Amino acid sequence: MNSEIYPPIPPTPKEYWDDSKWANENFSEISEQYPNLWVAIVDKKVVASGKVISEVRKIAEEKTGREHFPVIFAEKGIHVY
Amino acid sequence: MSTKIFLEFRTHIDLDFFALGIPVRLIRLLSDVQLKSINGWSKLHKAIIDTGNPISVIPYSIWQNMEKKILLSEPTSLYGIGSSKNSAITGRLGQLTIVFKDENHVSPPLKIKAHLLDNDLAPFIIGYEDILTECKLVSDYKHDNAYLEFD
Repeated sequence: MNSEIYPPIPPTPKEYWDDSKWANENFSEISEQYPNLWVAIVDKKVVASGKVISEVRKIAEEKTGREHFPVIFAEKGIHVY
Repeated sequence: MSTKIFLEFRTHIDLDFFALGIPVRLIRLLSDVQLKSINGWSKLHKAIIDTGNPISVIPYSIWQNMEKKILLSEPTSLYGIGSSKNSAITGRLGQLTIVFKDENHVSPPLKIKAHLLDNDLAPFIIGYEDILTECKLVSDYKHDNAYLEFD
């Protein structure tokens, strides 16, 4: 085990986990509407989408004032990585 | 004492196949991770656990401002099914520090090698090297139970 000291990891707000769960439950619809795009989920709705994660995150932060929210890749079809 | 980080299965029906009368489930095993940044830790990111990937793959926007070491300055290519030299995804081999999280637990930090992509064209993928080599992975879809266990 290495002896490196790390800064504390802050807790994640409950809203992140709730939005994450909602995104999983509604993934079919999200991937139909935003195929193969990055999508930010806040308060159980898509608030931003695009091809670049940092841009999607910035738009979502500006729109909602929130810092912690899931940004998911709305893959449509069968992707084999 | 070990730490268990619970993972989640995401299941959805491919609507194109469904329209043809064939229900095909598309299933992913997902984790939530944070990377060590220069001043602390990144936001939480979703990552796909993929035992078919020998090494983790990280999109550009996610690794760009993180604390990292570029191990090879020469770009390397990643090939997948159907890809060729011209369509391979490019990036660089690098090293970062990652933690896995669920609602109640955080894993120990892991120093990992990863392919740092030149763009955001692929999602964040957790592969074997330095991660699945260091923990136990349980993936029990039938009972909706999946986790990583770190000693």
